[in-house]
Amino acid sequence: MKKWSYLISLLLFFSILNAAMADEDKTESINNLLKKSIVAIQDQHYKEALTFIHQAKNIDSKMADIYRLEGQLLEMLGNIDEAIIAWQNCIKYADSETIIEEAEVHLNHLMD
Amino acid sequence: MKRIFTILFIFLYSCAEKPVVNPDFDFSQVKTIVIYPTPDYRSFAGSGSIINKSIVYHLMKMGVNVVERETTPVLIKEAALTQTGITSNTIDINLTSSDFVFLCTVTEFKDYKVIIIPVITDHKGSTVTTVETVDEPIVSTDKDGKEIVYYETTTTEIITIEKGSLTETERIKYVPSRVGVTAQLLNAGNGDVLWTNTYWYTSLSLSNAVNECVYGVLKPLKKLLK
Repeated sequence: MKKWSYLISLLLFFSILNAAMADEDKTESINNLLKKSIVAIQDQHYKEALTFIHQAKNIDSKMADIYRLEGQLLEMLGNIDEAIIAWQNCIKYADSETIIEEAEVHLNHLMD
Repeated sequence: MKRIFTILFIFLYSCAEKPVVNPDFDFSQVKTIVIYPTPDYRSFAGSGSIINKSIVYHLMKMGVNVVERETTPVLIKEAALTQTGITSNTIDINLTSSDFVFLCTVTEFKDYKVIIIPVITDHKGSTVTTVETVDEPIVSTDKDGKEIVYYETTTTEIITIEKGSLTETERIKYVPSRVGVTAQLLNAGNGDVLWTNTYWYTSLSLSNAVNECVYGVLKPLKKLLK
């Protein structure tokens, strides 16, 4: 009985540790993809930048900043319908008024 | 879900800032507009001129005849030089005049920037307490030599403590270029403001932000001039 209790405690401890480490890995992967995307934007390689953004979206599909960049990139590429969806998702996951306001301006601009 | 977005959009659209229009004025009489030079935004040299050129482009696309006051002194100077015989080109100065003046102020003119935000994650740690209860049989004999079994309960507590920690990571953020303008159409005869609008826009490139911002500010005017 005592052995089981130790085992459960250890399992619980490692699962907490594992979750924390997975979160850090996720943030690092997204950061790397964002860095690659920004370099591509600076070189005006918008299609390439968009592929990195899509990869980042596959890791975390609830980050407003990713949708914000996606919207901007799609606008630059002239894909207005997809840009509208990206800005709508940006509003959905936004955690700041500034991003919401920016997304609103873009939606009005694109849909008017 | 689509319905939610439609309702959200209608709400957002109703909140959007609209231009202010003089209701008594007939905009169909506006055929030629004189554009005055736009002052630069703070220390961004040339920003006013960039905006002005974009306004000229969009107004001409709308079918309006445009006179740029910025270029007028250059034309007059050229004409003066011709008269002195310094240049051979003959310039016939015949500047178009108009009753309508367009003024613009740059409210924002910022190029993109990449910022790194430090993110500190606080792992508060945890304490797990496991309580184990064991009933251990104890065998004894009574006076007659018979075995009596009774149970003694033992409780053991196991406390597992995970230490808290602070993890520092960084988040990269792209802040797009942002351009904002406030535009006015005036009646040069009496100084009446006939129309005014304000707009801002963000984009990955500064030139695109300028283009979209000027397009956005002039769009309501286009509807009126039709």
